[in-house]
Amino acid sequence: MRVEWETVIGLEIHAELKTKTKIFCSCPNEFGGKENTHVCPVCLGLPGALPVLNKQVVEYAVRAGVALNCAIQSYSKFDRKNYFYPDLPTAYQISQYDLPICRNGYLEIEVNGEKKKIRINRIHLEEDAGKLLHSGSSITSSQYSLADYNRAGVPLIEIVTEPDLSSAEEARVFLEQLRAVLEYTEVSDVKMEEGSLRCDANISLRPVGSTKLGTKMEIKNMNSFRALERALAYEIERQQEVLEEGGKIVQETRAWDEGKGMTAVMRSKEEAHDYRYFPDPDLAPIILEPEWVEEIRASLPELPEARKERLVQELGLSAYDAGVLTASRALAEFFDQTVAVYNAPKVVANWIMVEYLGLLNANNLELEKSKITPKQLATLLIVQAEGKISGKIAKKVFAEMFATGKDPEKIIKEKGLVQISDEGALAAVVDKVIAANPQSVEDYRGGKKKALGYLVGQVMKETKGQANPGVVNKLLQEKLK
Amino acid sequence: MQYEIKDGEMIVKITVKDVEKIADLAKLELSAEEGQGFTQDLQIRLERLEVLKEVDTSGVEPLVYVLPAKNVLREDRVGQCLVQEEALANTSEVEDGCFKVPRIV
Repeated sequence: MRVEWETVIGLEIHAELKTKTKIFCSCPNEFGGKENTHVCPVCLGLPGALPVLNKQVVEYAVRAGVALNCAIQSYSKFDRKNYFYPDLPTAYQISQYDLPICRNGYLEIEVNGEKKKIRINRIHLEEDAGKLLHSGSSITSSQYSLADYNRAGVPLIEIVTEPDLSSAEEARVFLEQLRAVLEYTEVSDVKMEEGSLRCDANISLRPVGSTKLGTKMEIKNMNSFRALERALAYEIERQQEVLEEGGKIVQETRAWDEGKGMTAVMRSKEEAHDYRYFPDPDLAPIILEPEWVEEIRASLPELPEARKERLVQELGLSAYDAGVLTASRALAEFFDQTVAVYNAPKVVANWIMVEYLGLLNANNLELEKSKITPKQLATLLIVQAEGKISGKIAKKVFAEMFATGKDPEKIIKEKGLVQISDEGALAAVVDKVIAANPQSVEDYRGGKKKALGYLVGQVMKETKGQANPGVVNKLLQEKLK
Repeated sequence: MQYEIKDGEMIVKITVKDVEKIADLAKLELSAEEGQGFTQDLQIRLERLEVLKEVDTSGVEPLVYVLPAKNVLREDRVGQCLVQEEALANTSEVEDGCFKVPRIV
């Protein structure tokens, strides 16, 4: 009998917090910078230097925790995770072991129209490690490595899910949703390409119906949503093949190779991980007053799920459109602000999704850096609705707005794009087109109604798209009676 | 680790293997003699700690942090960093503004 397999996936997500300074010292938390210039005795682990916790870090962790429906812990503490690896100069990472700041949360995702709650086991605080540059092509062939500690001590939250995800697609959707929550709550930059959002996965297969978890594999180095989905899909297939051939999965860590489209075993230290955690004696425990937590809860913005729901329920958008528009807070704000000026949600949604996102993608530009304001888009759509310009011209004007940031009225005026609706002004062009196309005129009179469309098109061409198609239609019909 | 019953109580018995593992994790090299010595020393210390079992700790919360301090926090304001030369001053080898470290694996 053929065994049916089911996939069990859990994710570990690291997000760098968007603070001005590092977690335990006042060095700037900035991406890049000349090597070893964002460092001080604390983050270099010099003897005698003492870490002091950044208040903003605690607030951001609580914000994320509240937004992810976690129980915020009134008592939490820091521990030292001991390991010898030069990415941290102290030979330990300050993390949280048995008393993390948040526990037992969840995030609801929607895949193929079905909603599913993905439980979050915990969120804990820790410091990021520095960057290592290996002299050879890989760590194993290097004679030596170079350490830059600018990133050492950057604040991180690590979010650990329960193994509730059952496909590569669910994992990708979860990560996208989580990214949106962290972006909305403004706790992290969530840029996967810059490493401010990182994701590792644990994945195993088991026969359908079994409640026992199979041997899990850890997958690292997935640097985009697409990479996560591809790596997991690859791993599901690979493990299934091994199991179906009667083989066994051995617990190991594998790295995703985006170029080759496959995972490979990562060479790691021989000894099993034994981090010998113990409480960091240099750091006092965090005791959170419920009032502070409630204050933070009250200050949260409308979250992606709620926003999406509102767009569907109150504005009548489809779930798909609402999902696209709320995927980032900036886009959702742009939509809301445009609708506030021009109250036609579906028209606005279409314009943003087709024209605006199209131009942004084509130019590889982020919305925040685009020149168009919601008011400008609303004005353009109002001008179009009033019949002053045609839909085709509106798209032209929009492209110009996108390139220059100019107001739509100004562009229309400067380029003389106002729609011609005056019958007197159009009559001459219509006459000219009729005279120049006797065959089409004959066809139309002979009952071929389609021929009229061709004639309308010719008038539009003559007027460079400025003629009001409705008026042209009416004039042609009258004249060809 | 092994266990042994003594006067009706279970006590931990440290073996040379335990000591070797701990030394390995701490990157310490021990001679056979030192290994034996530490095994005995640790055993004696653990047995001394047995006396703690006599204290009635029912109703006492586990101690996580010995000082009365809590929420020692600082504001999120950028302060002074070291300049690169200062940061690298204590290391023996430097390359491209970085700490040069021996091969890792």
